[in-house]
Amino acid sequence: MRLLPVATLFSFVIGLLFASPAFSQEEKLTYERSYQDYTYNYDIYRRANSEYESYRLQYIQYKTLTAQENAREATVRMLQARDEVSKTYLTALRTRLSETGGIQDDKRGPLNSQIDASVLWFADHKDKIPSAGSLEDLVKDSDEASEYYKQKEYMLYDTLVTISIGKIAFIREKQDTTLGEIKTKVSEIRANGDKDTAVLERWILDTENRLTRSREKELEALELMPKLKGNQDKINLGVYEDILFKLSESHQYLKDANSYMKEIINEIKFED
Amino acid sequence: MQELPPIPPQTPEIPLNQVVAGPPKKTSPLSEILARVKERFSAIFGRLTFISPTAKKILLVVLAFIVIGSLVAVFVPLIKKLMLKPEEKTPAVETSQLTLTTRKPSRYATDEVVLKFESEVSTLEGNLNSLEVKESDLNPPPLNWDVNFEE
Repeated sequence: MRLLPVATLFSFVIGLLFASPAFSQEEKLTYERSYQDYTYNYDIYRRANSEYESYRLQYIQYKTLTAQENAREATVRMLQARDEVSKTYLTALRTRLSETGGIQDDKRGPLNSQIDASVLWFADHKDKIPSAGSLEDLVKDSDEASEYYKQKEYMLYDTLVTISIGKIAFIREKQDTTLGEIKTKVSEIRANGDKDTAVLERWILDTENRLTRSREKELEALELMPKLKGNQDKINLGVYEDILFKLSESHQYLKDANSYMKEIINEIKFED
Repeated sequence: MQELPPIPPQTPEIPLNQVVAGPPKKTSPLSEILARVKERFSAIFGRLTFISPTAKKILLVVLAFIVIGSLVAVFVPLIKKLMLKPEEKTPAVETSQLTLTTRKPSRYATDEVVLKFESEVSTLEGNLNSLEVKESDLNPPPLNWDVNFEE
C-alpha cells in the first residue's frame, strides 16, 4: 500500500514525458500542413461550385419550389466551402510568411495581423450562411464576402511580394556576412605579406557591387507596389509580373556575387 | 621428172637480235571502256551534221572539262578525308582544374577559416539555385464570387 502513491506519481511523470512531444507536434502548424489543408478544401469547393452551377441552371429553367430549395442548399454548401477555402488559403499564406526569413518585423507584424483578422472574418461569415432563408439572402451574403475579398486582395499580393523579397533578402544577408568575413581574412593576408591582395580586393569590390545591384533591384520592385492596385481596387496582374521580374533580376545578381566569392576563395587558396 | 621430196615442216629460225611480234597484247578494261565511249561519242557527233567540225571540237573539249571537273570534285575531298587521320579529341579542361594543376597551393589552402568560407558559399549556391522567386503555389485561388439567380 505504501508503494501506491509512489507508483501513481511515477506513472504521472512518465505520462507527462510521453505526452509533451505529442502536444507540441499538434500545436505547431507548419506551412506544409496548412497548404495540404488548403488544397483539400479547394477540392471540396470545386465540387460544391459545380453542384451550385447545376442547381442554379435548373432553378432558372423550371422555377419550381423543389428547384429553388435544391439551389438554396447547393448555394449554402458552395458559399461555406468558398469561405473555408479563403480561410485555409490565408492560413497557408500566413504560415509561409512566418517561416520565411529575411522579412523585417515591421512588415511581417502588420501583415500577420491583417491575415488573422481576415481568417476570423471568413470564419464568422461561414457560420452565419445557414441562417439565410432565401436565395436573395444568400446572394447578399455572397456579395458581402466578394466585397471583403476585393478589399483584401491587395494585402494578399503584398504578402506574396513580401515573401519573395524575404527569400532573396535572407540569402543576401548571409552573403553579406560571409563577404565581410572574407574581407577581414584578406586584410589579415595583406598584413602578413603572404600574397599580393590587390586582385582580391578588386574582386571583393566587384562582389559588393553585385550585392548593391541586387538591393537596388529589390527597391525598384518595391517602388512598383503602389501601381499594383489598379482601377476600382482591382489588382493589376501585369504590375505583379513586373515586380517578380525585378526580383528575379535581384536574384541573378546574388548568383553572380556568389560565384565571385567562390573565385575569391579559390584565389586565396593558391600562391601568386 | 623426179618428184621433190616433201619438205618437212620446220619452225622458222629467228635470229637472236630480231624482234618478233608476240601474241596480241591484252588491252586494259579501262582503255576498252574509253575506246567504246569514244566510239559512241564519234557516232553521236557524226549524226550532228548541222554542227561545224570546229564547234564539235569545242563542244567535246567543254564536255571533257565538265566530266573531269565533276570527277575531281567528287574524288578529291574523298581522298583527302581518307588521307587525313582522325583528330584526337583533346579532353576539355576546366579552368579551375588547370589552376589546381599548375599553381602551388598557398598556406591558406588548408586554413580552417577559408575552408569554412568555402562550405558557406557552397551552401549559399545550393540555396540560390533552389530559390523560386514566385510563390506559384500560393497564387490567390480562382473563386466564383458572382453568385446570382438571374437569367
